[in-house]
Amino acid sequence: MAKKSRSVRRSKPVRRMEGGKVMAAELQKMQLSESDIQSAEKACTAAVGEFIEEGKPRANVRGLGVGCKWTDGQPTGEPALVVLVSRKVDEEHLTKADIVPPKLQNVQTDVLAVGELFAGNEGIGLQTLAKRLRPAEGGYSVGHFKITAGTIATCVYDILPGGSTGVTPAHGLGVPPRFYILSNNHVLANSNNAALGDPILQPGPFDGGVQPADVIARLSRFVPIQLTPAVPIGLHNNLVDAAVAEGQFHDLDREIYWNGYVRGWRPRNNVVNMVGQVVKKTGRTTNLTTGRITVVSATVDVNYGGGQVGRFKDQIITTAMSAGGDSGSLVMTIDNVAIGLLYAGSQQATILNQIEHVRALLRVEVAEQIL
Amino acid sequence: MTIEDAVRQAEPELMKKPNVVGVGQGQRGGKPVITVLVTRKRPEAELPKEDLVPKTVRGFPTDVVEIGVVSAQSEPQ
Repeated sequence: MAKKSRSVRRSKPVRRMEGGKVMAAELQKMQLSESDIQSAEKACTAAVGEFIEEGKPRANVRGLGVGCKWTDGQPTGEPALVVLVSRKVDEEHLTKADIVPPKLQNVQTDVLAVGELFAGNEGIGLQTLAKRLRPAEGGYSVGHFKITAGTIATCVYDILPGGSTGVTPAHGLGVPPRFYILSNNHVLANSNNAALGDPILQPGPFDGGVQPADVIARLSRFVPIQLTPAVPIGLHNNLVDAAVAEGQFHDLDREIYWNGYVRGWRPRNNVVNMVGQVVKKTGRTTNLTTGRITVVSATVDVNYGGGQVGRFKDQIITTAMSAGGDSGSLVMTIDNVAIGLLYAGSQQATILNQIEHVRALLRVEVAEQIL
Repeated sequence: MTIEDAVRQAEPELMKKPNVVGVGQGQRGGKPVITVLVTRKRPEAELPKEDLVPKTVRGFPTDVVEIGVVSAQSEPQ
C-alpha cells in the first residue's frame, strides 16, 4: 500500500491492470514531463492543507498525490492530483462536501481507490476475503446491514436433544432444526443495536453487500454486551461478543477457507493450559494468520467506538494476528480444534472469547467432538 | 493458592489502576505469572506510588505487558 502511494507521488503510477500487464504505450503515457510534475507538485502542496484538513475529513479520502489522469481505464498522459480513497462511491451517495471536485488548485483530479492503509502492514486491505460466495464459508466477509464488515467464524446448529452445557458439557443426538452463521454481536447485531430478524449481508456492506441480493441470513440471537456509559464498568460481566444468524442449509458451508473443517472444540478448562501454544485463523482482512497464546483467564477492557467500553472476563490473549474486519474469525489449534472466537485487538495483541462460553450462551454446536 | 485463584482475587484492585486495561494468567520463563496489560509502559519514577503494579500479588510474580489500545475489530468506518 505504502508502495502504491509512493509510486503515485513519484508520478509513475503503475496501476494494477487486468492480468497484471501494462502495455508499453500505456507506460509511456503514464510518464509525465518534468515541468508537468513540478507544477502539479506545487498545486498538490497548496491543495493538501485544505483538502485533508484534520477535523474536517472528507468521506473515504486517505491521501493526495501527483500522478497522471486516467480516463476509461486508460492513462491520458496529462498531470493530475490523485486523490487516494479507501473506496470509490457514486456521487449520488455522497454529500456535496464529500465529492472530490474536478479541479484542485486549477489542476484536474483523479480518484484512486487504495483500500485502508495500515502502517507496516503492506498488502493488508488489498486482498480481503470480500467477495460474494454461496455457499458461504468461514473466513469470508459478513455483516449486519448497518455495520461495515466482519468475518464468518463457521456455520453452526442448535445443540441437539440430550446435549448439555455447564460442568460436564455433552453433545446431543438428532436432527438440527436450524443452521446459522456464527460471528460477533458487533458484526451480526450491530453492538446490541439490532432487531431479531434483521438482514445479514454476505459480503458485508463495506465490501459491497446490498439488500436484498446479498442477504444470506437473518439475526436469530445475540448475547447482549454491557458497555459504558450505559452500564458502569465495575458491573460488567461480559464473557462473549457473539451472535448467530439463521440461513438456509444450502447457503452455509461450515468449512473454513484455507483451514478446512473444525474437528472439535476445546473446553475452557483445557484452553487455560495452552499458554505458549500456536493457534491460527482465517479472517476477512488478514486472511490466514497464526499467533501464540500469551494470557488466559484475562479480564480486559475493549473499546467499541463512540466512547463505549466493555469489560470482558475469562478471555484469551494472543500475539497480534488480526486487524479491523477480522472480527468473528474462529481461532483453532494447528490441528483444527476450535478454542476461541476473535473479536478485538490492538497493534500488539488479539483478543478471543472462550469457545465453550460461546457454545453455552448461544446454545450452538461448532463441531461434534470435545477435544 | 492456584494462579487462577490469585488472578481472580487480584483482578478488581489491579483493574482500578490507571492505564491498566487487562489482567490475566500468563507465563514468563516457563513459570506462571500474573500478567498485567497496560496501554503504555511508563518508568516507575513517573508514576505515583499507588499506581505502581506490585512486584508480587498473592504470592505470584507480576509481569507488566504493553498492549496498546484494544478495540473491537470490525472494518473501521
